[in-house]
Amino acid sequence: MPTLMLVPTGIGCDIGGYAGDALPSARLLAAASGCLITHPNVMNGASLYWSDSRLHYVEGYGLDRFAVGEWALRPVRRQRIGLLLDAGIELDLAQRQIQVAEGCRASLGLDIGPVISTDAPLDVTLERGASGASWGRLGCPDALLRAGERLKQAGATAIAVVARFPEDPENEELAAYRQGSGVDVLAGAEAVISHLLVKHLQIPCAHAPALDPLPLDPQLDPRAAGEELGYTFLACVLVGLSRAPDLVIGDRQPGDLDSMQLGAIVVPEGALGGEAVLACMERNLPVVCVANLCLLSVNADALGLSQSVLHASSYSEAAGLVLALREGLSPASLGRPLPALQRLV
Amino acid sequence: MPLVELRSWIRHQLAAEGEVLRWALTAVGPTSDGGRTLHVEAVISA
Repeated sequence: MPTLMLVPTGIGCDIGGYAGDALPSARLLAAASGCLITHPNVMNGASLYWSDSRLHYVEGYGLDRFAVGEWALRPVRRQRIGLLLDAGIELDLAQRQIQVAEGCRASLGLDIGPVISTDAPLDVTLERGASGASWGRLGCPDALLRAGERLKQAGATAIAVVARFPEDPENEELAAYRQGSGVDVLAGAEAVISHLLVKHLQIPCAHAPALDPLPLDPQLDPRAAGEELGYTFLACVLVGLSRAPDLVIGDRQPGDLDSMQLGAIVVPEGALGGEAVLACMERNLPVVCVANLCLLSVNADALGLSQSVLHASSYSEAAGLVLALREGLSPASLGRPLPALQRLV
Repeated sequence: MPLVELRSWIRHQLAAEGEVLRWALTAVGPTSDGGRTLHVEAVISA
């Protein structure tokens, strides 16, 4: 039963707001559903990743277009991943990225290449919205799109992009994030970069930031640890993209995944205001709202939907609900007291 | 407004600002007349 799992980027989710720390939940939901469509924020743990043929890695812009029914997903055996490097990355740091790509070719058998640098630095700046959610700005978006076009023309069927991000090791928000109590301030800008490329090129794309290694933090939260195991955040992106489904805008083929096939959507209970969730609600798709604290409070009560969504206190409970739906069981039959039969008069 | 119309209504409002790259309803608050105020954050490509 195709199921959509969302953990929106940059809103400080307790589970999934760090370095791929929603991956265990995604793996469980993939097992329960048999087919889980989710996005890089869920799957990317920098040096840590997991590959499972039941998990479909779809960047957020493509995921939204899929959810509203405009695009379909076509599973593939492999993608040829072009590597797009920001000209603003220092030579040594750029070489680290290329070595990760070489390592993924040699040790994981991924099809990677060609590599291109943008013709101007992308000039990424980080911002926070009124809600506290992170986002960002690109000083030179045209350079990103030009490099992406060249990669696609050269045969890349997916693109991993690495942009130089501003950094301040003394930043209080970064310290809070590393200790497990803050928002990922990079995540919103990362989404802007990958959304822009996917919108323009309609092929799978995902982003990894280029940053210098941070000084050792003995209080490092385990959820952020994946980002401190190596010199780059790129390995997970290459693995994720290596079998990301094609984004289909034209005619559908047998085997394509279409939003009409979705059986459920699983989302943090305070994050019901995204485009994909609202699109699924329009079609009366079962919405499993999981207790997963975040900055936002756009919950079922706020939308006047408290009776029509399924509530789960954890991702393990959500997996049980997804399995029940997959088996055709009424979730209401699994609790007591059993709600009274409705009588029409 | 019925929920089924909310997404297209928000997209329509945002379209006036430019090409929408990313958006979300980030808060829903009450108004004094019993209505609701919607807070939307969006990234628009210039």
